[in-house]
Amino acid sequence: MNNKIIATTPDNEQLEIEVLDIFSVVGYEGKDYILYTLGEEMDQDHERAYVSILEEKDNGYSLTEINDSKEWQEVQKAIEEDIAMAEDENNE
Amino acid sequence: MNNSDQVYQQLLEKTLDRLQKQISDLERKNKGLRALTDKTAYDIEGYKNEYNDIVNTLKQYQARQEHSAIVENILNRQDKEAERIISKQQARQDKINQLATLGQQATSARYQRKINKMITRQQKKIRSLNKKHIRLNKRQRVIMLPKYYLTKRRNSLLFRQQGKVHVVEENIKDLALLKAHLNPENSIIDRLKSTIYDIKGNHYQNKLSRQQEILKNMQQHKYAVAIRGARAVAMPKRAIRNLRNKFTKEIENTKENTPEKETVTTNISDLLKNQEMITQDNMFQNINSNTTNLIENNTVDNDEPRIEEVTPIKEETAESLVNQIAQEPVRKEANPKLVPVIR
Repeated sequence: MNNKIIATTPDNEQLEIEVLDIFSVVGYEGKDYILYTLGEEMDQDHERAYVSILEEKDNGYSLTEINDSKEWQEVQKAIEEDIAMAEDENNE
Repeated sequence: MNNSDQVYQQLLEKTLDRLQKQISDLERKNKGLRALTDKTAYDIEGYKNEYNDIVNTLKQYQARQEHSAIVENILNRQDKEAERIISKQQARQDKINQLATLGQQATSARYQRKINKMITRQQKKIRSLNKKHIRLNKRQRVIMLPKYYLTKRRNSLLFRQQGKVHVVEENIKDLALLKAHLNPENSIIDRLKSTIYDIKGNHYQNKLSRQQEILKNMQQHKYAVAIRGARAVAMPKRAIRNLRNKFTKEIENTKENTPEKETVTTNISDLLKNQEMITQDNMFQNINSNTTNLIENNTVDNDEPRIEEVTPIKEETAESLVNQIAQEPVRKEANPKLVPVIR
């Protein structure tokens, strides 16, 4: 199983996105978040990634923006923790 | 060979024989003499040793004599001292008897009290002399039986040391018991920890199952995935690589080839820097805080998603794709929202 999926933009454009993480955040139980990338390089060392709320609909999923600033802070912390954990696992 | 030669040869042969014989005799004699010399040397050595032994014996005997003389002097002196003590005691006792007699004859109470005091003083002196006598006796015993007292002292030291060893052994036993008591296997706290870890492990396992399920659903064509909004972040490539590896490992539950290890010189805060604000126009059109409007404008049918020809991201670079989207006519919002990156 690979980690790529096909998603549709509001303009009905279909994009292949690579999912890096699906996670939840303490204090926001019941919500899933998704971290993904389109492979866009920003410079030699950095790449652009995107974070959205993953909402389950009747026949699919919707990736929506995180509007709450407090929620966004918590999500950032969760991502940092996941990055640190991934770094540790990679170094083992 | 002529006669003269023969005679000469015989002469030489005779001379040789004679010399040979003399050499043998002398060697024999020499051997004998050497043996005698050696024997004499051994005898001399033996006598010397014997002489030394006797000298040492004599010295020890003299030392013992001197020692015994010294001891004898000491004992004699102590005997005289003992006699002196005894005579003093006797004298005091006689005096007590006299004073007792006087006391019986006394009529005055004051006089009687005085006599009693004198008797008490004499008795005190007798007791003091008695203690002195006892100490003297002990000293004489030690001198007469040195070996006995030496052994006694050594035994007392030995017994004391054995007592110390016993105490230390008991302490060791106590420590061993304490260690067994504090053994992590028996600790309640550690049992509690293991229970918590089990719960965490189960929770993590459930989380992995959920991730797998969601991804599987999203990959199936009957499930549409619509992008309505996102927050963009700038992440180091290394972090993305690690996350990718971790995520794919988790969903596949198999080990992949890990990338080349890099020296980690940055901490977590350094990993997420280079904040950049990007506009939504570059990526997503019509993304605003009002998601209901977005849903209304959503052209994806609820019945069946329109899956058109997929734009393969491998063939086109991401940048060109973004430009392609950006070049299309867009409905610009009044206030496009900025998408911050993670600090």
